Amino acid sequence: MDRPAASCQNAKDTTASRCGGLSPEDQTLMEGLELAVARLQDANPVVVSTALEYLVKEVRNATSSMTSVPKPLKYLRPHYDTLKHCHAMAKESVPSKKLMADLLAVLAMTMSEPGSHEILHFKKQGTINDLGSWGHEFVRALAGELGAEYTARQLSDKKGRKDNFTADLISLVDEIVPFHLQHNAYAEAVDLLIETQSISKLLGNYPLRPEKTLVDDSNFKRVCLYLLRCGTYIADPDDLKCLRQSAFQIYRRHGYCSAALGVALKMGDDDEATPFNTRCKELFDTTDGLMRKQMAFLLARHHSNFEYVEDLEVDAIIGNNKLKSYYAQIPCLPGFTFDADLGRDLDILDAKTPEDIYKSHLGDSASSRASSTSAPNVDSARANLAATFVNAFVNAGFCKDLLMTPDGNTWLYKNKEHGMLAAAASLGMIMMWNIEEGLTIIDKFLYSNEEYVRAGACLAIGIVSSSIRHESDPPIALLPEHVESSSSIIRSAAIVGLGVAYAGSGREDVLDTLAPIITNSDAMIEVAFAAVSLGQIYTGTCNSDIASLIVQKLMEASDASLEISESNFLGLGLGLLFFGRGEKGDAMLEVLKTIEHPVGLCASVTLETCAYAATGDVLQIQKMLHICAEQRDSPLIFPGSVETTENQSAAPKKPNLVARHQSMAVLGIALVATGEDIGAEMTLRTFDHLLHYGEPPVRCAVPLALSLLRISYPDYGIVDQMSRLTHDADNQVSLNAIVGLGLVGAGTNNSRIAGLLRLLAEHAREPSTLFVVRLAQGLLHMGKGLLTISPFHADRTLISKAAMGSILTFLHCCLDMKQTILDKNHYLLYHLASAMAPRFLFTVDVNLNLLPVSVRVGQAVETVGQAGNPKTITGFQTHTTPVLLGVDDRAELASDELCSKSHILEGVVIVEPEQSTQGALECKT
Amino acid sequence: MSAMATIKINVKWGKENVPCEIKPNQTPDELFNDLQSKTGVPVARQKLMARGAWRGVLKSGMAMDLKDGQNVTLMGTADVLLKPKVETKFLEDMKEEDQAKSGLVLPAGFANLGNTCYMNSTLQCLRAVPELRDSLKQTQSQDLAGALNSTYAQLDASTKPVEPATFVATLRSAFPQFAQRGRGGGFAQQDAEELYSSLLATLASSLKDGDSNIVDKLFGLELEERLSCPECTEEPEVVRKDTARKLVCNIQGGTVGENVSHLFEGLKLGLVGSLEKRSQILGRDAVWTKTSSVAKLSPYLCVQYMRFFWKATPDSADHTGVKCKIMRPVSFTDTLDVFPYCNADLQKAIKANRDKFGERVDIKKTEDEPEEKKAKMDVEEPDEDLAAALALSMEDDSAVKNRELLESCGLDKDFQGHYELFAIVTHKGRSADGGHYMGWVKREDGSWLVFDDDLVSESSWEFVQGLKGGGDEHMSYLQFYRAKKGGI
Repeated sequence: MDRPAASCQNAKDTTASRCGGLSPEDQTLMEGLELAVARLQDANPVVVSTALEYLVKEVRNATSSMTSVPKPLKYLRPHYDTLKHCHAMAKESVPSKKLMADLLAVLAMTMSEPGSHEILHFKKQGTINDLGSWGHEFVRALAGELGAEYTARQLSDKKGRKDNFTADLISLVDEIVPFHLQHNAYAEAVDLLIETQSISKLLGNYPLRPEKTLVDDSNFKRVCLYLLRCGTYIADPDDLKCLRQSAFQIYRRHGYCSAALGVALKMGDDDEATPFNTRCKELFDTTDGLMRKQMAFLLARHHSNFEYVEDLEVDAIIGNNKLKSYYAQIPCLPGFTFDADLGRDLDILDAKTPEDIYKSHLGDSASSRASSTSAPNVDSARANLAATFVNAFVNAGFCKDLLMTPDGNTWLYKNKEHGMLAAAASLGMIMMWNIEEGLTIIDKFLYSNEEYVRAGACLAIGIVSSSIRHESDPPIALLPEHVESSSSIIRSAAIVGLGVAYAGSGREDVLDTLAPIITNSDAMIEVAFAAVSLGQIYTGTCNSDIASLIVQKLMEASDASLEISESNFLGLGLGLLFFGRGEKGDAMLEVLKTIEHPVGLCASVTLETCAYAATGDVLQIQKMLHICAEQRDSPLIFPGSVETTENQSAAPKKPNLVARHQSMAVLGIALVATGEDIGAEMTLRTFDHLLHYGEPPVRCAVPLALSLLRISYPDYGIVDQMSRLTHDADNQVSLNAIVGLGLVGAGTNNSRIAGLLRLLAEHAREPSTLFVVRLAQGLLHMGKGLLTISPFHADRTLISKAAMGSILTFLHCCLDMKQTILDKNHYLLYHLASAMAPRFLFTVDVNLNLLPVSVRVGQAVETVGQAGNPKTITGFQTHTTPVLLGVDDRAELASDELCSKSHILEGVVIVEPEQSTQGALECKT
Repeated sequence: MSAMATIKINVKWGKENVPCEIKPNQTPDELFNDLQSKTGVPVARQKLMARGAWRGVLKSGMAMDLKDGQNVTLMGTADVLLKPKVETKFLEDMKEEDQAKSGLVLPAGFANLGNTCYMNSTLQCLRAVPELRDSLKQTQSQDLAGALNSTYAQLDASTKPVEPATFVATLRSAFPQFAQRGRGGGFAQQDAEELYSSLLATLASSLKDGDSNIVDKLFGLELEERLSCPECTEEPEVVRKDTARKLVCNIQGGTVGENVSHLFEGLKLGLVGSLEKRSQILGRDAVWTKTSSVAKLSPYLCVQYMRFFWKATPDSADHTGVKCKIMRPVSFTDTLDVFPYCNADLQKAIKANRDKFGERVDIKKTEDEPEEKKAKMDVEEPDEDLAAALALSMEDDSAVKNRELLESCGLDKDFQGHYELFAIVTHKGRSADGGHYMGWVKREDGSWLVFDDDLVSESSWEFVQGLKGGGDEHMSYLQFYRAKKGGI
C-alpha cells in the first residue's frame, strides 16, 4: 500500500534536484518543518506541543487531498528517525505522545522498512478514531498492514486463541470498514474483512449509530457481488461458508430473494448447521407468492430436488412442469402472432430430417452416397443409427419429427439390434418434457416382440421425464418391473432410464430399486450403469451408503470382470456422489487406494477431480498435471502409489487401462478449472503443452477437456483449435476433437462449426469417423438451436450438478469410443437429456402467461469492483422476448416501467409494472 | 378407508382428460373397465399411475387411496407395433463382396506397387468395358488375360484397395520393358498408352472368338490410307488398308504448324501424315502425303493425345534426344462426332441414319402440332405414304448395304456417328518419365469417379471437363469413348 506513495516521492526528488534547487515556498516549508522537528526535542512541553501541532497541521493538509504532492512527508523523510526517537523518549503521561504516534504512523506510510508494520505499531499507540482525517491513502496503507499482521499472527498462533491476540486489530478494523463503505471503497472494505476473517461484521450496524446498517439499499448489490466473486479465490472452506452466509443474509435482508437463493444454491449442503433444504424452505416461507414462483423457476433450471409442499403450484414449477408449455409449444401458441414470426425466423416450425442437418448437397462431390444407391432396400445400420441420434437431438422436445412419430414405424426397423434400442429411445427425446403424450406414443413399443425395442421404450420413459418431477411420477412406477426383467439389455436400458429421469433428485425409492443391482448383479455392465445412474441421482450428496456399495463392488469384483471398459463407470458414479464437495471425498480416496486394480486408480482420479469440480483449485490442477507428466515406464507419482508394483506387472497385459487414469486426469484439469474464467484461460494454455509433449492417453483426452471448458460456448479460438485437432494424426484425438466440436457448439447452430463438420463428413474415409461427425452435427443443431447443455446458469454463477454429471458421463464414453459409442453402448448418449435446457429468455406476467417485452441483449461485461454505474452489457441489440441467449450473453429490460422478479434475466422471468412493487426491487442494476 | 362419498378423479391420457368417478369400495377392475370403454385402451395395457395412491402401476387387487380431484396418469394405447413387410437389409450384414457389388460403397482402387499408377489408371478405365470383362471371364488361360481376369474379380469383391501383384508380375514377364528400373533402383514410370497397346495386343491373341478376336471387335479400327505424291501429280493415288486400336490426336500442330486447341482439330491432323516412298514415275524416293480415314468403326474408341514426343537434340553431347511433354490445353466435350474422320462409305451410312432421324423428329413435331394443322395435312397423307413406300423400295438396296456395314463394325444399325466419353487416363507432371497417372470413369448416373491408385473419390463432369491441360494439373492423355446407341 505504501509503494505508490514512495515511488512518487522518489520521482519528485529527482525532478527537484534536476530543477537545481527549491522554489521559495518550498524553501520556507522545509525550513519550517526542520525548525519544528528541532523544537520537538525541546524540554518544554509547551514548545513541543506547538511544534507538533504545526507538523500535524502541515501533514494533514498535505494528505487530506489525493491530488496534491505530500511535500511535508518528503521534507520530513530525513527526520523520521529523530521523530521516532522523540516519541520513544516522551513520557507516557505527556498528552502529546498520542498525537506524536499518530503523526509517526502517517510518516511510516512512506518511510518505514517494508514488513516492519510500523504504521500499525504507531497507530495502536495513537488515537484510533477519526482515521479519515489523515487521508484516504493512509487508511488504505493501514488496512494493508492490518491484513498482513493478522495473517502473520494467525500463522504463528496455532492454538486458536486468536480473540486474545487480535482484539487490538479488530478494533481498528471496526474503524476502517465503515470509513471505506462510506466512501464507496467496497472492495477495500471487503478485502480487509476477508483478510481478518470477520466477514460477518458486514451484517452489523455502524458503530455508534445503531439504526444505520453498514450495508444498505444503496450499496448491498455491489458489496455482495464483490463478496461472491472473491469466494472463487478463498481456499479455506470455513471462510468461504462464512462469506456466503453473509452474502445470503444481506441479500435476504434487502428483499433480493432470487439472488439470495442463488447464494444458497452455491452453498448447497456445505453448511452443516443449515442444510440447503432448510434454508430454502425458510426463504420460501418468508416471501410472497410471485417471488416464490420466480425462485421456483431458478430451482427448476438448477434441477434442484427441493420440494415445497406448502404451495403445490410453486412445487409444480420447481418440478419443471412448466417447461413444455414454454418451450415446445411456443411456435404454435395461437394467440401470439409474433411467436409464429419468431418460429419462422428461427426456422423451427417444421420438423427437421437428418439430411436437413447434413446438407450434403452443399458438398463438393456431386452426389452423396445415400442418393446413388443401386440397391434401394439396403441400408447402412451405422448411418441409420447416426441419423436416429441426429433426429433425436435436433427435434428434441418438439414432439414432432419425420422419422419416429409418423405412423408406420418404418424407421424403427431400419435400425439393427442396439440401433433399434436407440431408435425407440429417441422417441423419449423427441417427446421430452411432454410426459402424458410421450407415454401414449411410447406405449406400443413396450409390447414389441423385439427385446431391443422394449428396452428402448424403457429408456424413452426415462428420457421423456428427464428433469421433470411429475405428479404421477411415471418412471418409478413403470421401470422397476423392467429392472428385474429377464433380458439383460432391458435391464441395462431401464437402469439408464432411471438415471436420466431422476438425475439430481436424490430419490430414495430409486435407490431402493438400483442398490440391489450393484450388490447382486454379476453383469459388470449393469453394475456400472447402475453406479452412474445412482451417482447422477445422488449427485453431490456424499451419500455414504451408495459410496460404500460401489467401493465394495470394486474391491470384491474379480480382475477379469473389471477388465471391461465399462468398469470405469463405477469410479464415475463414485465421483458424482461427491461432486463439488471438496474434502468430503477424502475418506473415500483413502479407501480407493487399497484397490489394486488400475480401475481403482482411475476411480480415485475421477473422484478427486469431481469433488473439486468448478472450484478452480490450483493445487488440484497441479496434482493432475503431475499425473499427466508420468512416463509409462517410470513409477507412478500419484499418492496411491502403494500399488505401483502391481500396476507395472500388469502394464504389458493391459496398457490402455493402466494409462486410462491419465486421460481422466486431463479431463479432471478442465473439470476443476471450468467455471472460473481466468483459471480456464490458463488451463487452455496448459493443454497446448500436453498436446505437444503428452503420451497418447493424455493427448486423446485433451480435445474433450477443451470442450468441457466451453460447453455450448463456441468461442472463436476454441473452435479454431479443435478444428486443427480434427486433422490430428492420432485417430482417437481426431475423433474426440470432432465430438468436442459438437459439444462446444451444442445447441447453437454455429455456422462455422457446421461448415467444418460438413467438410469433415465429406472427406470422412472411415465409417466410424462419419458416424462421429454425424453425432457432432446432431449436437450442434440440438433442439434446432434452441437448447443448451451448458451446466452453468444464472449468469454463469451456478453450476447444475445433474447437467455436469451427464456431460461427464458423455465424456467418459468418448474416452473409450470404440467400446461405447462406436459399439453397443451408444445409448448412454441419452444421458445428455438431463443437461438439456432451453436457452430462451421468457418473460411472463404475474399469471405466468407469456408477456412479450423488449429487452436489450448483449455480451456480458464484468462489472465487479468498478466505480460508478458501469454498463453490464456491450454491443447490445434490442429484442422482444422470448429471445435466445448465448452462454456469454446477458439481457436487461429495455423499459423502465417494468421490473423483473429475478436478479438475472435468464430462463423464465416474471415481470410486473414498476409502480406495483414497493421499492423491493429495481429492474436496473 | 376412503370416504363413503363418490370421488371424482381426472385421468390424464395423452392430450385428453378423462373424468372418472370412483364409488366407495370400488375395485381397480371396475376402473379398468370404465377406462376401456372411455378410451378404448385394453385393460391389459392400461398402466395407471398416481402419486401417493398406490405403489407403481395399479394392478387389480390393490387398494386405491385416491383423493377427490386427483390427477391420475394413464399410459396405454390400443396400437400395435407392426413390422414392415420388407425386412431391411443392412450393409454391415453383407459380405464384403456383396457390399462391393451393391454400389453403396465406392469401388475399390488398386494399391500402387512402385510407379504402377500408369497401369492402375488404365486398368480401371478398361474395367468399365463390360464386353471385355465378359470375355475375360470365359478365358481359361493362365497368362496375362487370366491374371487380368482374376485381378478384376478380386477388385469386384473388395471394398478395400487391392494389390495387383499377380498381374504386375505377369505383365513384367510378358513385357520386360515394364520391368525397367529407374535411377533409384525402383521400377520406372511407364507410358500408359504403351501399356494399353501391349495389353490389347496380348489380349487379342488370347481372347479368340472364332476367326476374329474380341479385342478387335471392341476396339479395332480399320483405316483407309490414301497416298498421293505432291511432287508428281501424275503418280496415281495409292490406297491401302491399315488397322489400329486407337485414334491419335495430334497436338504438335502438324506440318503446317496449325494450333490445335480442340480435340476434333487434333484428330483431323492425326489422320494426315507424310512419308518417303519411291515414286515410279520420278524414279526416286519422294515425299508422299498420307491421308487416312476410318473405314471400319468399333463400339469402343480410344483416343490418344500425343502429348509425349521424342525431340531430337542433334546439338547435345550424345546426339540423341529427349522425351518431351506438350502441356498445351486441348478441350473436349462429352460427345465425339466421328463423321469427319470416316471414309465415304461410312459417311454415307451415317448420313442416311441422320436424315432418317431428322425426318422422324420432323414427324414427331407435326404430331405435336395442333389439330387443325393436322387436319389440313390429312388430305395429303395418302400421297406421302405412297412416296415413302416408293422411296423405301428404291433405297432398299443401299439401306441394306449401310446396315450391313454398320453391323460389321459392331454398331447399332441406327448409329449416327456419336460417341460418348466414359473414361479418361490423365497424366500430371512435366516429363514423360515421371509424374502421376489417374483414372477417371463415368458412372451410370452421370457422375464421375476418380481412381487415384488406392484412393477412390467422387467427381463431376464439370470438374472432368477441366482436365484439358495447360497447367500443372492433371490433363487427359487417353480417352475412351463408346458408341451411342440408336438415334440419340
